[in-house]
Amino acid sequence: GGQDEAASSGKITVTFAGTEAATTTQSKMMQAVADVLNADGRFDAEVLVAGALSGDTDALVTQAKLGVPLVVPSDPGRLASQFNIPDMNILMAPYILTDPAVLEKLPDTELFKTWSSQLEKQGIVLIADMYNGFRNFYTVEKVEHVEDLSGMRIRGFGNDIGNALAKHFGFANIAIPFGEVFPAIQQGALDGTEVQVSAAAGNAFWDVTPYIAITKHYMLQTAFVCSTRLLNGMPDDAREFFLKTIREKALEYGKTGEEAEDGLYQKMADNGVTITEVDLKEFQDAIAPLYKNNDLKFSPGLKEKLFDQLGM
Amino acid sequence: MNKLFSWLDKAEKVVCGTGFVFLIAFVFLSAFLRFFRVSMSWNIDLAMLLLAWTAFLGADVAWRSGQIIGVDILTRTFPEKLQRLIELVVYLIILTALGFMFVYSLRLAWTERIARYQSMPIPYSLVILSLAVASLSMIFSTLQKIRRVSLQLFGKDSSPDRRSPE
Amino acid sequence: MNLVLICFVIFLLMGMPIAFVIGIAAFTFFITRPMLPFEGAVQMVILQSQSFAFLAVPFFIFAGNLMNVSGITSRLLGLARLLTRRMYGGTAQISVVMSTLMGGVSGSATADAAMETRILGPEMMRIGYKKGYICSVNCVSALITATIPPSLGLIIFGFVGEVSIGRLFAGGIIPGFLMMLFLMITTSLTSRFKKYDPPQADAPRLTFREIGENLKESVWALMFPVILIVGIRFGLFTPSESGAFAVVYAVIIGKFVYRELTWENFKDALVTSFKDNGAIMLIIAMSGPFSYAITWVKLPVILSNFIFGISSNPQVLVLIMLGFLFVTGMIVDSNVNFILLTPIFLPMVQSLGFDPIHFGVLMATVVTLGVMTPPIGAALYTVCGIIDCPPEEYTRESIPFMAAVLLELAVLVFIPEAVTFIPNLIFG
Ligand code: NA
Ligand code: NA
Repeated sequence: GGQDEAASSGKITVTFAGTEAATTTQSKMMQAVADVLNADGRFDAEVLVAGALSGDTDALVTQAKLGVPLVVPSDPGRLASQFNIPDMNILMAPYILTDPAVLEKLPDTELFKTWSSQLEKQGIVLIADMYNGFRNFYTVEKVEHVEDLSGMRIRGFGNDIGNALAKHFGFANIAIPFGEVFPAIQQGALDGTEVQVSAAAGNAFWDVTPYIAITKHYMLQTAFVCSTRLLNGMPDDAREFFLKTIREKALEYGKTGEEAEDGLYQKMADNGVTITEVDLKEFQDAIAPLYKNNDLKFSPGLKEKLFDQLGM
Repeated sequence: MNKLFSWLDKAEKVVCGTGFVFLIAFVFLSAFLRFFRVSMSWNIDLAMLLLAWTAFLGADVAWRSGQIIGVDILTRTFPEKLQRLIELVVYLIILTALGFMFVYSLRLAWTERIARYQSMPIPYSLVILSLAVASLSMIFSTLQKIRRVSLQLFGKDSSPDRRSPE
Repeated sequence: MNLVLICFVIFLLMGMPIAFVIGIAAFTFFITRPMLPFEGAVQMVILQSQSFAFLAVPFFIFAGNLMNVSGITSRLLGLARLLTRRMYGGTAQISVVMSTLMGGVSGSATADAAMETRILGPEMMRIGYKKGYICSVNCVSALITATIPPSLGLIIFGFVGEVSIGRLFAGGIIPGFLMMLFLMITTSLTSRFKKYDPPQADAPRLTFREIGENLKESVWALMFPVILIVGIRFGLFTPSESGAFAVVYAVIIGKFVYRELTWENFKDALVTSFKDNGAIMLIIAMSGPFSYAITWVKLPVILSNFIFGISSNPQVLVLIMLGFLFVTGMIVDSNVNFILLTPIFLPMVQSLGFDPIHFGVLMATVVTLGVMTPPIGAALYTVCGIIDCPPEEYTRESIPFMAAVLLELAVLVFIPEAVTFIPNLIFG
């Protein structure tokens, strides 16, 4: 059954394999792409979400690279570590990208093309970069100013970016698997987490974190990748259709996701969470030394180059 | 040859035991530090790396010591010679599988040679190598089992002892 | 997929260890599909070892082994003897009570069954119990140990199903004590019927002073589960980390309170533990490519559609699942059962509004029972091996005990509060 039948039918087989739940924007987007591809007739696309194939995004990307016909939603930070392209981390760095609209222009920038070609040399194609939500602080105590975060035990990214953010905001960065964050906050092993609202609402965080501070420090992106081998195996017109469909749906669902955020914040508020609009300038200033000292070891002038190419 | 094997056996136990104690100490420490609000963002990755090494090497120690055995619900009704013959075939199949695991874990480690842990400046391939090393070690253990069964089957001393404890 | 199943059955019948049976059967799936590179199979093996929640397994195995060498076990045995000395089938009752007390320090049914058969077996044979009966009571009552927290079955269910292990632990408390009650009644009835071991007329009545004397020593072991749950509740450690605290606690009590832990027996416990852990991890790791293969051919979807087709009543469905697990448990290793079936069953029962903690405790119990059921069961062969009992005799004598456990589970299906009351009380 399954993919075996597809392989023998002469159609182009492709599996979208994600780790998020079926209800998230990312999973819905992949289903929408698969529907369009299947309706076209040249493709046999299926979607496996919620980690059905594997719960490890990097492993799925490796499988794609090895030749399994997968499209995998990863993110620029993961790809930066996995394929040793440190400069690509800037897409996930705090307060660099602050407006989802820039993602429309991003694929046309020289920098993005450089990173893409570095990936392609390693057998991976970055098809599209989709908006996946701003991350904010969800805490047990109210956070209005940077110093309120001081000393809090917050679950953040366990990578250099996460540590740099913790250093400049003054909280203790605690690595805990995402699934254990809810009970850890509930039982007092953590004072909060930084996360996007879709994940917070999807996991009923209103039960454990009575406060949200709208700091918008990271703009999360989903980077859809597949292997060069998969693309090269397609006839030219099919490949073009395939890439076009994913890019269009990425833009469309990026916007859908953005619009859905208001409703999700409302849902948090309806469940008794206090949402604090902080002074973003104050938080951005606290992060400024990160770029001045070049904590993340970017190439010289990278930030200016990116802003210039994005016309910011 | 036997001397080398017993030295390797001992070395494996020491590495595995030390890793196990470190793993516990380390997880204990990270919980302790968190209580005192100290950052430790690489604790998960390091614990997982230690777990892979201790688990896979531990599996080899268990395999060699005869702890990992199948169920002889059907085969125990067979004549002694046939039982040993089936045992030999089982070991040969396992040996082949271990050979595949060894070669392909090395190939996977090579594929991932560039990847770094997000939280630690060390290659991600280190975790893959745990399986390569354990597979190699299990290949040696399986060869010893094959030698023992072959002696029982074809050797001059064909004493009909049951699956002897190792 | 047919090739996978054929290999699975043939290798199993040839007497190949289960870890290799699963792994090699799955390898054939990868080899026969050019689309799936073999590196992917190896990668799935490695990834299975990369779960933080799994850490609790090696830690609690080690803690349990340390308890055995540090004098904690022997003190609990003293307490169990005290509590049962005026009962019918008193020596068999010691085993049931001992498994309940051990429940708080050990998570492994097989280890508990082996330990108690070794200690109580010779004594029971001398008094006149039949071998099959001795093995049955020691083996099946060890299921209590695996139900009362800590419990390896609950940890593995929690880590596969991404359910709070802290809550699962708390959920096992009432079912564990209820099982003790069911098995004590069964022991009493069967030993009266078989005229085993009547209470001695001159056995002195139990006094509070006597219990108090014993508790002075055994309280350190009895406190153990309380400390674990309190530590989790107050955020000192997460459930995955709790095993590391258990090890440290066992070392401290063994070294400084009971003064029986030496460097030599520490090393023995350490080697036993990493071997046990390696053996379990090998099964779990090798099932990685197997799960991948069955997902690839959509077996989980097919199976859950089939089960959904039978009934949509949650209780009936859970009873069917438990029956299914009991049957698969007869032939499939318990870890394999957890890994392959939790991801299929849990979403199904959740979609019907069945509490995941409630289901987890039921599933963990029935799957762990699989190690005690013929024809294939690790605990069964371990206890039968210890006193050289024919497995057929065990099978016959174990029927009343198995029936008691199944009856308890069937009752629990309809009383969710018996499972969820304590977790809700502790964790809100
Ligand atoms: Na017992
Ligand atoms: Na237990």
